[in-house]
Amino acid sequence: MVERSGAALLDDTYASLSHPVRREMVEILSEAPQRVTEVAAPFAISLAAASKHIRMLERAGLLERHITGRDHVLSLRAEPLEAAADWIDPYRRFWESKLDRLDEHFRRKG
Amino acid sequence: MNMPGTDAPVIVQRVLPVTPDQAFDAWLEPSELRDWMGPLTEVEVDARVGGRFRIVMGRDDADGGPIEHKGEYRELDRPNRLVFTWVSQYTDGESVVTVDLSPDPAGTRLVLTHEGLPSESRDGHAEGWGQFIDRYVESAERQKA
Repeated sequence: MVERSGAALLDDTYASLSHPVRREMVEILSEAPQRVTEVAAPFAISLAAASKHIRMLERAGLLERHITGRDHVLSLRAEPLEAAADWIDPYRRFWESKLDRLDEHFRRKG
Repeated sequence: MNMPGTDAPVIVQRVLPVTPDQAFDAWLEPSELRDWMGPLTEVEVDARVGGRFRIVMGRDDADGGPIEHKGEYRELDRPNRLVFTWVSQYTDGESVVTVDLSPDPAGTRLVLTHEGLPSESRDGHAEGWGQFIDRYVESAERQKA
């Protein structure tokens, strides 16, 4: 797999979430892992079109596909979403990590 | 359009195992700052109201160079409170950091409030995404667990 920079992965995450169908798919999968056909079912689009959206979410690393026999089960992956959340709220993360270090600093000294 | 909360201040809390005086000094003493805010390439502190500071951080991640943070002390009320401005390439001009210290049975409760951060300058994408993404991080983590 081609190594992608953090910025490129973020772009993929946001691009993949910038469509209502894909957001709703993420929403459906946030309840529990589901079969591809179940993820596609609520939409008034063809299975082929739904598959395209699913592939885009997979390429961005948001979904994982487990194949058992004829069942393709999709589940949500946390890592890219975490990266996106980190980017959204950088200053909270920044101070959280600094105050962790401040706490360690005192424990080392004490 | 502004989603609720995008302009809300960042608030972070900790209980530290030291006295309020020790917690206060850690913010102004260059040798201490180097230890907990570091890795720092430069630290300059003029610890008086109206005095300025400059803290240059090396980056942990690979991309980009060091990040300069600078500002001015607005309020230094030892050992209760520090207020200083905070300017870096990630702030939209001046932002303001308030550090409140109060005694706690376990030492000192520190409440840091960072206000005046830009919500738009992070990027056009950022607006409104915060809540959406926070929700799904939680769901994905629940599934992983």
